[in-house]
Amino acid sequence: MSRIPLSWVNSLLDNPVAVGIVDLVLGEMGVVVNSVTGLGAACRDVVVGEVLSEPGQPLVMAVPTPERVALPSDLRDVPARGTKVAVALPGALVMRAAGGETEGPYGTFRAVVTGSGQAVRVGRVCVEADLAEGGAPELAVLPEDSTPGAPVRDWLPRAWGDDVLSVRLPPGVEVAGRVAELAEELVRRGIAGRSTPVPRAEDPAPGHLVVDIPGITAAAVLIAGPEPDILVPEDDRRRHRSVGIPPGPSAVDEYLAAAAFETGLRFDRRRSAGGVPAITLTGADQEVQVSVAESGPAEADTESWIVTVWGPSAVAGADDCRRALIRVCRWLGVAPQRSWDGVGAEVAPLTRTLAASRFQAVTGMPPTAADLGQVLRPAGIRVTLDGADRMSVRVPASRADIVDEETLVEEVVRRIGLSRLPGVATRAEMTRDRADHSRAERAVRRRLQAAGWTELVTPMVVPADAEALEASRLLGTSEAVRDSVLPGLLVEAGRPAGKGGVFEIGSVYTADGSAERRVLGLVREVDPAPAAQGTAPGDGMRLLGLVARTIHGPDLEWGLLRRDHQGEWRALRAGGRDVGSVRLGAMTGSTVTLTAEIEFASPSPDGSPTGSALGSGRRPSVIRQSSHPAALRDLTVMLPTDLSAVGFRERLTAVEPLVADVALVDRYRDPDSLRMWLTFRMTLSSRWRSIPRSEARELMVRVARRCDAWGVAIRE
Amino acid sequence: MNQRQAHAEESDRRAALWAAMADACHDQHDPSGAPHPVVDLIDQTRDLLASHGFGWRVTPEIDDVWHSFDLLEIPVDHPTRTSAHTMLLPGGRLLRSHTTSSVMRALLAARGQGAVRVAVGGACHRRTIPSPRFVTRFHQVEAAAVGTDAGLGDLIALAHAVGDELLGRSSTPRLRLRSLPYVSPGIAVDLPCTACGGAGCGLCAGRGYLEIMSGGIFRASIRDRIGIGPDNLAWSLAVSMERILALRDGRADIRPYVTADGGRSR
Repeated sequence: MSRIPLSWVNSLLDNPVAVGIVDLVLGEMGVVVNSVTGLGAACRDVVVGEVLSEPGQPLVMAVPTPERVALPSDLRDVPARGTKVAVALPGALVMRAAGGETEGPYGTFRAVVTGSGQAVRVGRVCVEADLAEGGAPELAVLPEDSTPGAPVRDWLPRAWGDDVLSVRLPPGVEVAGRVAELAEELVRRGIAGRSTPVPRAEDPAPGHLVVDIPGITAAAVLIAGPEPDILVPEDDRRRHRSVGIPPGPSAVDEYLAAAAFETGLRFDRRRSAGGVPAITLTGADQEVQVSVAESGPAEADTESWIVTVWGPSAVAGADDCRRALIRVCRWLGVAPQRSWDGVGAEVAPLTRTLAASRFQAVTGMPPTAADLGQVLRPAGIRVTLDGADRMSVRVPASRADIVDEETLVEEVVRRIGLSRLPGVATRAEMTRDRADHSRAERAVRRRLQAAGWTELVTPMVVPADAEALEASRLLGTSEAVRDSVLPGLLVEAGRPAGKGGVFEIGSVYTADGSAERRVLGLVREVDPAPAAQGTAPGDGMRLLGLVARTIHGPDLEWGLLRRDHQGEWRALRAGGRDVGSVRLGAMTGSTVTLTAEIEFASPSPDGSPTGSALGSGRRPSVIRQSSHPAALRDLTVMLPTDLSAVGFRERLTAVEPLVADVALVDRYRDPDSLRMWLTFRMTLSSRWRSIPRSEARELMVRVARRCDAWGVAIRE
Repeated sequence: MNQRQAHAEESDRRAALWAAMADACHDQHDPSGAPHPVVDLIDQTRDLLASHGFGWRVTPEIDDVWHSFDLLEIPVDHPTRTSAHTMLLPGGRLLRSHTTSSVMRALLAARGQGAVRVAVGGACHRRTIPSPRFVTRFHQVEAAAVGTDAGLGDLIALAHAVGDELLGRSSTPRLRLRSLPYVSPGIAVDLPCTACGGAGCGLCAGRGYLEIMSGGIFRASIRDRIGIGPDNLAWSLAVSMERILALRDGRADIRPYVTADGGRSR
């Protein structure tokens, strides 16, 4: 894994390029861009917080989590209540590394205790140096109108912060991650220009020795001669400053800090003591004595120094460490005399058990315990068989990800390969939808579409106006969940759409306990003549009445709600309560806008049927229409005495979704047995595609199996 | 009024009545109407899942923190719990950020019933910078199964069936392990990017493959929480609707599908 700040790339180019371009070029070079993250003020996880405490009290912040938390702070002066400051959430990338509060070369966390006494890592209050290159060590105060919870970048100039691309180098693509090569590629493609050639360096050839570091992967190089007394070029220095790396006391310090930032590994250097070198790695939480397995050359005779890089085995491989050292050597312009690399030895292996039967239940594969042992051994996992089904497994301490039987199974799957696991379909009966109002929604949608209406899906989140309910406002933004689908539809209705009008079935916020309601909204231009006469609601209204009755039943009532300067409103009532409203808007030119909103049921918490909310609406019956040709298959059967032809037809209709229709087309009485043979014609059809012969054949095989289970005889 | 005139008036009244009835019933087909492509695809996926025994459940789009995060054992300090990543509402509510919360609701309601197969779906919301791959509002359909035989084999078979039905039998899904906090093992299903032919583009981020499904076997601790018996397994598989449409159409961007008309006018 490597990180490339955008400013590093742009510092090598005459004109800056956008992060999207770099992302694209990296992709075309075969480099996997895992993510593009903002750094400092550009980071989405650095958000606006609001000070709630008074000066002199412990600092209490409103941060965009469901509860308020107190943030301990080393700030000398607690800002005034209501001040807006920047808060780095966990995972945020900030410019500076601040002593013991950091985890790795970037990112800030701080443990805080909530009112319930629970320790929570929420983040920390940022100073300007966290947010921008060359920032001051003072609290970053944001504008008064900034919205708590919103990313701070929305409220700061673009010059604050940077973008960082996290990239993964595939095997064989070693150099593509380097900033210089990337810049060169951008120049070569004509995307950016550069007046001078991009500097390059030759790879040093590492030697070969072994370092044994328990639990850690590490590498080191021995470099003969004194440390280089060089100046860091201004281009490099600017790149370093842009990501919060301060000018070091020497070029070596500064470049090691830059390498640590880019790779996420830890770097160290020391003078060689001569003889058999012993390297001490001092991390934030441990001190490890490293013994070099082989004695080095007579470095006591010459001045030399050692650069070491290390990281947890689960994060860094030997290749990562070696590559990082090569990069440092390039930057410093030095050639290593010797190098070491290695992976830490196992300490305190964990013992777990794994049952072959459990593995079979999860994966569907029936291996024996011996087979599983064979798979796990190459991973350094020692296996002892406790019988045909069970085994004891000793997991090396470096595999902290394997903690129980589940993760052991996952490791086996990883080593076998998912593609080798068999797909074993559990054959289940086709189900009918239980959610009645969902079926009604579907039927209404199809009816409207067939009548020329165009379906839309408009945004659920809208700008919050003054009338928006407090409970519907999104935390940290000036947005709210919509309480009607009509505004969005009216905006879209002005654009070219189906001549029949536009509609949407969607969720809206409601102030009652359910918080959410499904509604149907319609907007259509209608013939003004009947409306102008005040005698008939027009064809749009008639269709609306049909739809409303489909949902709410025949007892639907229309009532005059009010008349205002915008037109006439009519209320829809069912079961003694309002379920919607319809408005014929003011005449514009030769048309009148019809807007309507009709309530469906509220979704129940568990998705169970909510038929009661549907009123007594008759079941909508909509024949499926498909523009793709149907396949017809005849099935001649003799039914058992306890199954009627009508019952069998219903079963056949429900057997597969591709069965669009079943009709009885022929009957014949066998003169010998006097039993009746019935021929049903099945129409196989999909709204979305044509049915190939092979699929129809497979479907008929499944139907035959089902008939066999029902005791139905099929004539071949 | 003579008999002929009376007959003519009666004919006119009948004709007017028939015209009014025909108009009200709207049985005639008007081809200018059209479904929204995402909603239409949800319908298709739902039909497919029904044929595999998955019953559809309509679940809330406005969900809560408990079903979305706590039940899935997502740590309290996980960034996704903040408004920087999720659309939070006051009172512990939020706009659903994934359909697994809805699966949790459906499985909780079915606890103690033994083998269960349910499907949920709809819109999900996340705070993100819209790009060819990610949008703030997207649609998922998620199937979940509980039972003694609800293992990876069942899950993989359904993943292949979904790929075959929605993208054709010539599609070649690639399965890989994927880390999710609440499943072990977790899997993802990738399909070759049709927009770039595997050469790499903004939709597939240069990978040549696009992830369209993800899921896995629920961890034992979560199965305990939702009351699934110790002998039962449970899995879920979420399908991304917009990404499937992009692969179908060979479009290197999913943003058109989240516009009001689903990209029909573009």
